[in-house]
Amino acid sequence: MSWGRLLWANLWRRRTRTVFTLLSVLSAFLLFGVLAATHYAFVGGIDLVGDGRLIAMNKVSFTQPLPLAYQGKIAAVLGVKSVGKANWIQGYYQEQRNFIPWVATDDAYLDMFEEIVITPEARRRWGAERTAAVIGADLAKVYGWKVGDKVPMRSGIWRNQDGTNTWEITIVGIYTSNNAAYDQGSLLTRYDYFDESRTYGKGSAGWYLIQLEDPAAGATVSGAVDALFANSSAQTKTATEKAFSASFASQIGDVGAIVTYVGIAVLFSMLLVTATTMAQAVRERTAELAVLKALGFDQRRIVAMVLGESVLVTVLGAALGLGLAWLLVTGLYPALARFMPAFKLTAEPVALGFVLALVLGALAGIWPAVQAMRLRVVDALRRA
Amino acid sequence: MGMTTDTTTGTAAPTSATLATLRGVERTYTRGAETIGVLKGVDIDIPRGDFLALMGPSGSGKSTLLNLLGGIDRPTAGSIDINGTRIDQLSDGQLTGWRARHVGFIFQLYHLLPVLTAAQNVELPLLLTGLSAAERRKRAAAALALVGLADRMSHKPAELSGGQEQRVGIARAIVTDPDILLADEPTGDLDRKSGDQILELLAELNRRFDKTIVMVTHDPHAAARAKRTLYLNDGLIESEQAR
Repeated sequence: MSWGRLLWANLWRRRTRTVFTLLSVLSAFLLFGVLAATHYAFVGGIDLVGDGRLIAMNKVSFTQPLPLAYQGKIAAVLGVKSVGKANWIQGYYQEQRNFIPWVATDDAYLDMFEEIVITPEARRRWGAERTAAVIGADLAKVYGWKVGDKVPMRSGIWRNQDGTNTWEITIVGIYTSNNAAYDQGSLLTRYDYFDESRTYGKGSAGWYLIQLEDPAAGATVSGAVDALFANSSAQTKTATEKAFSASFASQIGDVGAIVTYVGIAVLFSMLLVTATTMAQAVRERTAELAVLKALGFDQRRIVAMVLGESVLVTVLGAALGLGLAWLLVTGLYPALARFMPAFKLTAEPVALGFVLALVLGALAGIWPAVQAMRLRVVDALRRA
Repeated sequence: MGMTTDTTTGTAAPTSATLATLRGVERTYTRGAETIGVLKGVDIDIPRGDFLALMGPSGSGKSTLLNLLGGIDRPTAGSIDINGTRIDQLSDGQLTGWRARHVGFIFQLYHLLPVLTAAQNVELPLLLTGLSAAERRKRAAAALALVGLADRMSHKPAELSGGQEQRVGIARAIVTDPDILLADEPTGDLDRKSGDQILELLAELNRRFDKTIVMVTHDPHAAARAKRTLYLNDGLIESEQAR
């Protein structure tokens, strides 16, 4: 027999209670893992966005357009390498619930994303065909689309001059990404095809994407771009792509704060449950602990036994909970990838989860351990 | 000088004639404003290889005396010397270590860990030694064989009779080959037949392995198996009977 065997045997003394405590810890860490993946999907992915690009949008709102003439003016600003334009189309396939992030854009935009990997043939056809579309690999997988397919795509915002809200697109390429967290669920089509056939808003862009000559010059260039249109009817607000993504994520709510508060509440409940279980376990074992002390188990060993048991429960529960969270996140990923491409349980929250399990296990065991330590052998045996 | 034999390894060590010397031992407890004297100045010499029974009415101080001998309680006054160590002067930590090396406890209610097998219960005190796992298992098996439970090693306490549980308790007490075995009413929870078997086992440990045993009992029949009996009354030794 070893110390580990002794801990393990004590843990299963009351099977039902241990199972329920483990389930409580498991649920807490399952939620922790799923929340961490959600948080990463909204906020963590921002860190992966390139620093070398700026986004210029209407100062009033993301939904207000900017004149098409701005593209050339921005391109002339010192430090700007290239400028691409884009429009948000709010796409869907057949029914509104089949939402697809659809952006109408141009060559410059497509070329400045090194994260988007397409074949030279796809790039050639994009330049040659008006209805050309490039779709992400995840999106292709969902609908089984392949190169050459013609798809009637609908917009939740725009109307086509033919009286419908439908644009027929031709899939010329399926992009993958060299960055695992990058969105592979979007649809990109040519701006000119969209702009010439829409009923209103012609000659405007939703936002401009600016590639910098020097990534470190972001602040200078964004200041220069905004200054250029300071006295116009459509003033710009230019920021790094990272800041734009963060601001976009914050429109949904402070996901980080929500995750943190929910996480704290759940883990605190788990702490109370485990502490209660341990206190009960120690109370039930008063005589046994006294006997162990009589046999020569010193205070250090008694404390280590109680704390060890408490930590074993939380770490075991955390391992099961985080394991289940990983399975769940991995299982849900194909369905959610289009909306949350960075929905992944990364190593960082898993490591944090185990550290929390250790700390909470120790916290839950402290008071029962102190009680066990204070136990007087003679008194405890007399009570038994 | 005599020799004593290790019950589990068979090795012999040199010894002196007296194992324990108690002088002027007092133990008082405070309950509110009241001070209760449980032991009121006890002098005892326990020779090595003795089998001593402590008898007396409830509250006479016999269990307190046993606790003091085992180092799980401290005297209010007086000295306790066991095998050359003044245990009344040891710190709590030192006393715990001393108990692990020198004392074997046998309890009335056995106090085995229900989640462990008989062999694991007996192995428990050996976890505090530097012995290898294989050596620990070997010694636990030897101790269980000595008490006649070689075929019950994998049984949990709930699967054993009261007498068998007490045998496991005795095996646990002797597995570290302590200087002294302290038994608190070892047959108090057993029927007469099982009790007799336990008493016979203790007598054999005393006779064959020269183990020093101090046993608290209410039962004159049990005390009759000891080499001598001390009668306590109101915290003092009233009389002594040798056999």
